[in-house]
Amino acid sequence: MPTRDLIRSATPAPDHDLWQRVRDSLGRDDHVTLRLPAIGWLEAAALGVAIGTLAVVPDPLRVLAAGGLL
Amino acid sequence: MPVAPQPSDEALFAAYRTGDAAALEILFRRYQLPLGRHLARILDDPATAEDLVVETFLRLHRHRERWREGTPLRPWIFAIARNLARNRLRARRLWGWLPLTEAQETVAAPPAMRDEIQQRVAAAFAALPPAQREACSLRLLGELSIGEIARVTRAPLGTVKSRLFHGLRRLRVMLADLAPEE
Repeated sequence: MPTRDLIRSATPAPDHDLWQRVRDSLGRDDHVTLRLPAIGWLEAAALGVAIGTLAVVPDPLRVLAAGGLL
Repeated sequence: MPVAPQPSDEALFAAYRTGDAAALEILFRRYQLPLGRHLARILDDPATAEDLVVETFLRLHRHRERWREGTPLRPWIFAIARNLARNRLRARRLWGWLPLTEAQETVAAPPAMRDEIQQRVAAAFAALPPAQREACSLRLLGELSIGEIARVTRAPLGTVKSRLFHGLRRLRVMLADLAPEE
C-alpha cells in the first residue's frame, strides 16, 4: 500500500454528515457586521493634526478649550 | 451518454453568492473529507477537527463578499481553516499553562485508544517539524497541489517543495514497514 493511502486510511475523518450542523448554524447566523467608513486623506490629515497638537502643545486642553472645541 | 462535467468550486461559490443555497451544500460535501482529515491530523483531535470544518464554512459564508471571482477557492478555504486551527492550537497551549484542576475542565480528553497503525501514523507526523507536517498534511490529506499549498501557507514554491521532499521522505522511512510495496 503506498504511504499516501496508508496515511489517509489511518487518519480519522468525520464519520458522519456535518452538513446539517452547517445548515443549522447558517440559519442562526444573522449577525450584523459593523463597518467603519473608509478613512480618506482628509480624515487622516485631521487625525494627524489632532495627534500632533496633543503631542506638541504643552497644554492641549487649554488650546482646545480656547478654540471652542471643548 | 456523455457525463456532464462537474461544476468547478468557483462556479458553485459564485452561484451560492447569487442565491443558489444548494451550491454551498455541494461544495461542503466536496471538502468535508479532505478538510476534516487534514485538520484532524494537524490538531490530533477529530472532534475539534469536525468543529473547525463547520466553522470554516460558516466563515466562508460570512465573508463571501470578499471573494473575487476568478481567484481559486480551494486555497482560500484551507487558509481559513489554517487560521482557525492556529487559533485553536494557540488556545490549547495557553490552557496548558493553567493549574491542572482548571485545565482538566477545559481541555478535551485525549483521543481514545487507537489502533496501532493510527498511532504509528500520528507519531510519524508528530515527529516532523511543524512546517513539514503542515505541508505533508495539506498534500496527502487535503489533496492540495504544491501551488495551492504555497498560497495557503504563504511560502515560496521552492520552500514548499523542500518541505514536502524532506517531510515525505521522513514519513516513508518511519512507516516503511507498514507500506512495504512502495
